[in-house]
Amino acid sequence: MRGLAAAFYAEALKARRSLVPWVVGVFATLPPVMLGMMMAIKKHPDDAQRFGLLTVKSRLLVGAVDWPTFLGLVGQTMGAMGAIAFAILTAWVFGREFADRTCRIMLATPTRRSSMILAKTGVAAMWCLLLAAWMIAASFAVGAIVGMPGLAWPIARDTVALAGRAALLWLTLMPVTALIASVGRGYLLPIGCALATMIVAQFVNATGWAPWFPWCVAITSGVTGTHITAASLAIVILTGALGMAATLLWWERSDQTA
Amino acid sequence: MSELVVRTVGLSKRYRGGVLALDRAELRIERAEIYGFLGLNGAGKTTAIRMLLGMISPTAGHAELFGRRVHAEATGLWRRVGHLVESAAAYPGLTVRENLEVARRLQDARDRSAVDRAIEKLGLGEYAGRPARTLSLGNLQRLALARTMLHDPELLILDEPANGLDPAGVVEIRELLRTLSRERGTTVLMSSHILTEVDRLATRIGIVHRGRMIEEQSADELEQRRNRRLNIGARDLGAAGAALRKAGFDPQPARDADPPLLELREPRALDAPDSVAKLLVEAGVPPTHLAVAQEDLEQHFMRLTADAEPRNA
Repeated sequence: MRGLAAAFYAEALKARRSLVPWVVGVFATLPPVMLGMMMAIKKHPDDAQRFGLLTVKSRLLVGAVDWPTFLGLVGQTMGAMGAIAFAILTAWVFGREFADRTCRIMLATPTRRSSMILAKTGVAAMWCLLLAAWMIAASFAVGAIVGMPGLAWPIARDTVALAGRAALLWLTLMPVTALIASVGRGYLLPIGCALATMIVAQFVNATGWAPWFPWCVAITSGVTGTHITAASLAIVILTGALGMAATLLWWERSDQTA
Repeated sequence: MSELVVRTVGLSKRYRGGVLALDRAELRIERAEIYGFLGLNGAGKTTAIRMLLGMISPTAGHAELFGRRVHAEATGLWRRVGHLVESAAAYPGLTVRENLEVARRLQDARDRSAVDRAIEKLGLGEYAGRPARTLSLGNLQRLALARTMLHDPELLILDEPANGLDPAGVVEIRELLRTLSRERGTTVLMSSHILTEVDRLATRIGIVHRGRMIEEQSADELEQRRNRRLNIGARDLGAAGAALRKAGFDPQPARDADPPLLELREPRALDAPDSVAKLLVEAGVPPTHLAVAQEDLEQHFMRLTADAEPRNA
């Protein structure tokens, strides 16, 4: 237990002192801000034209200027952007040990390797949840600033529930990113894989196999009206569990030469 | 009977792709010894060190520390060991003090003042509040060494401990290791490319070459085994050589000598250079130079590793 506490202390301090989570936070604010801008342009086309803003494009992008439309668009965008942000955070927490060559500091200490991995997973999950909360809060703040009509309690509640569901599904898949960061000994490969997964997910979605592909399940979970079947949920949980087991096994068994 | 702190039995590692990094290495290191582990780049030193620390698993044989078999999760063992593997590393965003605090907790060292003591011992007080990314190579090395000593380990495994240190730092670390060994009985296994440093500090030396231990001796034994020769100078080297041969010696031109010298390696010449001088004087070619020379560790190392190279036909 002391080992786990020590590992948590180390990981929390490292994450707090790192710039990456803060930069990812700024990056994750962009979707609601950009969509809010489009809404504002659509709402005030004359003012926007005076400032030389793209009114025609904004008209193509959005329908009505109201909370349900705005939150629906944010949900769709954040499904993908949030997933990449989660992947970057996880890749960083695991991959930095190789990039900074600090991996060997963690090894051959009384703190078990499994404790280190659990602490890393826990800290990465905390960052991801904070990020999700931040993205939701930013969306509501942007919507309020733009002054959109039609916000009702059920809409706000459903939006938070959808975002929470998407965040939890992405968290469940996080160990796969951790595994790729460990095996790939760095953070570039898992980030590349996350981007590639997004592209593959689009293809799988088009073929109708989305409910069987865990990353498609997570992407669509943020979209209003999407029903996730028990089988899809089980696939996501199984993928995450296998990722976690493989990550732990890799750290326990493989040669650590970095 | 003295206690074996490090013992390896037929320790071997063959990496995927067939590279044999270490071949049946037998290491024996007793308590309070300072063991100099020498070898060229890629000789197998770091592989051996990583196997001693459970970071990589052997493909044959095994390693023991304090009589216990090494494996990755031998957490009890690692309380007694401090290590610095390859280059110094630290979390760049954390200050020196934070880096050491993280290490203290991971090492489960209960004494909170250990961090302050390590900072003082390694002369890092001035830099304690600085992020590690702003440290010079030498201070980063000091930080890495401080980390290894936080929990007062009984065994220090140090890969290139003098790396990046200035001459004063090298002397400081040498004295620190010597004191730890003498006063606390700390055992030190150190690899280094600075052979003069190893020569000054090590009480036992092992040389690994192409994955095989080619020599392991105490510093005293090694001192005896290093090549000694009697170098002789004379105005007429030809006549001096003839006189020596007539007396049953086998004089050879000394390698790389300027001006040219002859050298004798026979024990009777090395033990009694005065008789050689007398012989030359009586032969009418008095010596202008007469000195017993001994190869240093560097020359010994270079000769051994060159001898171990496969000869081209």
